[in-house]
Amino acid sequence: MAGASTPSALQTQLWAGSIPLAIRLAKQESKTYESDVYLVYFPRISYLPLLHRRLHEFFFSSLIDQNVFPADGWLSYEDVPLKWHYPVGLLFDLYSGASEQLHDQSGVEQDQPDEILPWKLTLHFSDWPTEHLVRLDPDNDALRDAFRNSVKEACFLRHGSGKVIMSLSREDSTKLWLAVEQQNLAMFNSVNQKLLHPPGVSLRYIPLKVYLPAAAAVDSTDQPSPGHLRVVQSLVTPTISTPKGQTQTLGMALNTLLPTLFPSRRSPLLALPVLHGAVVPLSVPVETLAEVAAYADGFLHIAVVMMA
Amino acid sequence: MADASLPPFPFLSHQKFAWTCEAFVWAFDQCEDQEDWRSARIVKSPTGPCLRIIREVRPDHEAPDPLPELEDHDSDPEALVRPPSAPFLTVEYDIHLSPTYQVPTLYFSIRDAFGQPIMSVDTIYRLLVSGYHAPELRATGIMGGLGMVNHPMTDRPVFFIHPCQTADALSAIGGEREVLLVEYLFMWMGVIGACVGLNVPLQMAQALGMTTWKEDIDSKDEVG
Repeated sequence: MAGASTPSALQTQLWAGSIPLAIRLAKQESKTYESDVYLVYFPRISYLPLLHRRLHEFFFSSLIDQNVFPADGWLSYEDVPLKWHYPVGLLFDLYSGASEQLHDQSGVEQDQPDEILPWKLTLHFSDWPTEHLVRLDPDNDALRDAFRNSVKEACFLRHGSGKVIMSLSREDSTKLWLAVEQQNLAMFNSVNQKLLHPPGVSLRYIPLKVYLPAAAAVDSTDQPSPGHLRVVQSLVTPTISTPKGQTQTLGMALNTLLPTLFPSRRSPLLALPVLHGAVVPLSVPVETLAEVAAYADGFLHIAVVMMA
Repeated sequence: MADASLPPFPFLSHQKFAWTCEAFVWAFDQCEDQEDWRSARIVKSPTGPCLRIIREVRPDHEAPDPLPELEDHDSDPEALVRPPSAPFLTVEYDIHLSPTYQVPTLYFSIRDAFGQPIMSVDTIYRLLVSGYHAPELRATGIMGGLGMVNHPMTDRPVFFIHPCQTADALSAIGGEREVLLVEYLFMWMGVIGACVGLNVPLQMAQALGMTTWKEDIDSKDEVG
């Protein structure tokens, strides 16, 4: 592992990763037929509501109803309301269609075709989709709270209790979120290292969540709504319980969690795990992956993409 | 009766949680004369079983001993006083096992007679949270221990009580004593459910309390 708060090259790269967004105002809310386009490179690890204030300002003069606030804002992609509590990188991997084009298993990066990038999103300030999204508030307390709950959950998984996160000072806890808002990796690591490696506490489970879009979740009983997700989660140990304590790879973990989608531990046959826009090799140890490639809340948020 | 391979109280394995729910629904089915709950049943899903309890409340209902400031919140359209003849609201409580915290987690939603969800936190407090529980629920976080998330099964926004304090609360109550599987959810409802109006119907508690008490004594006899 690298020194206390020195980020690894990979982590630096992940934090620098951005998605070009092209945001238009919903037609029915716009005074003009063709709304202006707000273009932005938005960090993969960040959250959409952090854009709302700027979007509200940018589109204000085009709004038919100007009695709306930044917190009324929500974004959709092809009629799927985007869940603001997920990092935008995960949303992109799940919904943009870019993941489906990653079938090349050689690991060679491919340029995204023009029709996907920039990612074209629609902005709304009215008709909040109450069946899909939790409401936001003017101070983004709900967003901060969702982030903190997720950090807390990751800590609980890692060390089996809430002690580590509870012992974090208020200042550090504020800094952690501020680092995400400001994209400040050094500041982030100065706090996050305390959460990852508290003295005298051993690692129990790897914070990992696997996301299945409706297409992959064939056994869903409820009528799936647009963008419906099934989140699969279990207690994933860093080693598997053999006398030797063999290292757990992503393939082993996925084979245990979703045996029908990942019948082999070694090679993807039906589905691919996508993280930060890349297909993750099944042979990667989960502990190493969590150390360098977790999102800011400490979780490995892995999108599952069906192979054609 | 403790099995070393299962997590110790208050943590539940998936299997133990499933048994606990079954025992609870069985106990509910035995008691025909209660009027508090409309139904209690197990709903199976890919993310594991969930115990679903449905209750009705009147829109003009007030949880016992409400905090005065909760009532005159003018930004809350649902808080309008309605005539007593207004149709019932349906509260759906879903109890899931948290895969992280390994304790049951409470998700709930209220819908009006037209099936529209009620999203106002203040209305939730007025209808479900008794004055006794309000301060502790509001104490931590934005809405306190009470928050909103997407439901693990339906993916729709629902209210929930954050489970990170549940294990500690149950330990404080269960203590050193052996807690029987059938008792578990009774105890859990006393701690978590009661905060938002999910109380075990009296008849059910009485019916089950007698048998549980007996078993408890028997097990003590064996030890002694």
